[in-house]
Amino acid sequence: MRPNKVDAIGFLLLVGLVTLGYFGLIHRQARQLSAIKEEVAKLTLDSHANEGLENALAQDEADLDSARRRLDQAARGLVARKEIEGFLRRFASQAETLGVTVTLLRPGDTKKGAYCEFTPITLHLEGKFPGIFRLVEGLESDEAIAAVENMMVQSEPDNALCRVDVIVNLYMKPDKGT
Amino acid sequence: MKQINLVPPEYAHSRYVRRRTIAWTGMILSVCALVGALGLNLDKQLAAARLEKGRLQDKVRQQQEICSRLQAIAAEKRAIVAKLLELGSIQHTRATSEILGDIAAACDEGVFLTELGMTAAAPRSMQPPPAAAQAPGAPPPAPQAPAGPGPIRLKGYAMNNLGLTRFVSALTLAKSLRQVDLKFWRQEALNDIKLISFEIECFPGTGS
Repeated sequence: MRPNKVDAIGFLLLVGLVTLGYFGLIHRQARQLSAIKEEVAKLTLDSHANEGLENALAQDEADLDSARRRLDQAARGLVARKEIEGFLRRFASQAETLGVTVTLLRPGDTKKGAYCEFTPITLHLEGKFPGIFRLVEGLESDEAIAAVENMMVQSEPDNALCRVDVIVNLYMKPDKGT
Repeated sequence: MKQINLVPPEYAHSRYVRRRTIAWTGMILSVCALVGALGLNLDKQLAAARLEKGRLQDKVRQQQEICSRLQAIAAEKRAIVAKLLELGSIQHTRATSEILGDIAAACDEGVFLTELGMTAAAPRSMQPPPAAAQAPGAPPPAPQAPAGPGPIRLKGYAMNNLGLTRFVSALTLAKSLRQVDLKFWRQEALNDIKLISFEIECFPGTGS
C-alpha cells in the first residue's frame, strides 16, 4: 500500500469517529430536549389549571377582611374582665332607679365558652313587675352582652311585689392567645 | 496528429491524488458543517426549553404558595364563622324581656300569675377538641349547635274559664312563644273566692 493511501484512510477513519461521537452528543441533547418539552407541557397544564387562583385569593382576602370586621363589630359588646364591677354597679343603680331591690348580687366563676368567656351572675330581686320588666329590658338592650340563663318569678295574690331569682351571663372578651 | 505525453507518470498520479484529496476534504468539511449546525440548533432549543421550564416552575411554585395561603384563609374564615355563630346564638338568647312583655300583654284583669320559670339556651362551654382535630393540617371542628332553650312554665289563677281561654289564646298568638300547652286546670278556693288554678308550658318562639 502506498503511503498516500494510508494517510487518506487514516484521515477518513478519524473524521468518521469524530462525526459519530458528535452525533452521539446530538442524540443525547435531542433526548434531553424531548424530556424537557414533556415537563414543560405538564407544567403548562398545571399552570393553566390554577390560572384563576390569583383572582380567588384576592376575593378570599376581601371576604376575610369583611368577616374580621363583622367579628369586631359583633364582639364590641363583650366587656373586659376589669369592667365586671362597673357593669354590676350600673345594674344596681338602674335597679334602684326602677324601684327594684337587689337582695343578692353574686358573680360566679368565669367559664370559658367556645370563643368568649362568661361570668354567671346570680341575682335575687324584689319589686313590682313593671320595674323588673324594665330592668331585664335594659339589661338585654345594654351595649355589654348579657343574657338571662335562668329566671324564676314568684308572686303572691295578696302581695304586689314579685320575687325574682335570675342567673345572668355576662360575656367577656376572650383572653389574648385563645 | 500524433500526441506525445511528455508529463512524467509520477507527476500525473500525484495530481490525480491531490484532486481526490481536495474533493474528499470538501465533502467531509460540508458534512461536519451540517452536523455542527444541527448541534448548535439543538443546543439553542435546549437552552430555550430550559428557560421556559424554569419560568413555568417558578409560576407553579407561586401558585402552590397561593394554594397554601387560600387554605390558611379558609381555615381562618371557618374559625371566624364559628365565633360569629356563637355571638349570634348569644344575641338570640337575649329575648327574655320580649317574652315577659308578651306574657304580660296576654294577662288581662281576670288572670293572675304566681310563678313564671324559664331557662334560656345554656351557653356552649369549652369542649376539649377531639384528637383527630388536633392533628396538624386537620380542619377546625365544625361549630356546635347551641343547646335549645328549655320550657317556660307559668302557674297562676284565673277568675273564670273565659279569662283562662283568652290568656291561652293570647299566648298562642304571641310571636315570642310557641307550643303553648295548658298542662292542667282545676277549680280552687282562695280566700273563699272560687278561682281556676292552672299551669301552662310553652317554649320560646323562633320569632323572638
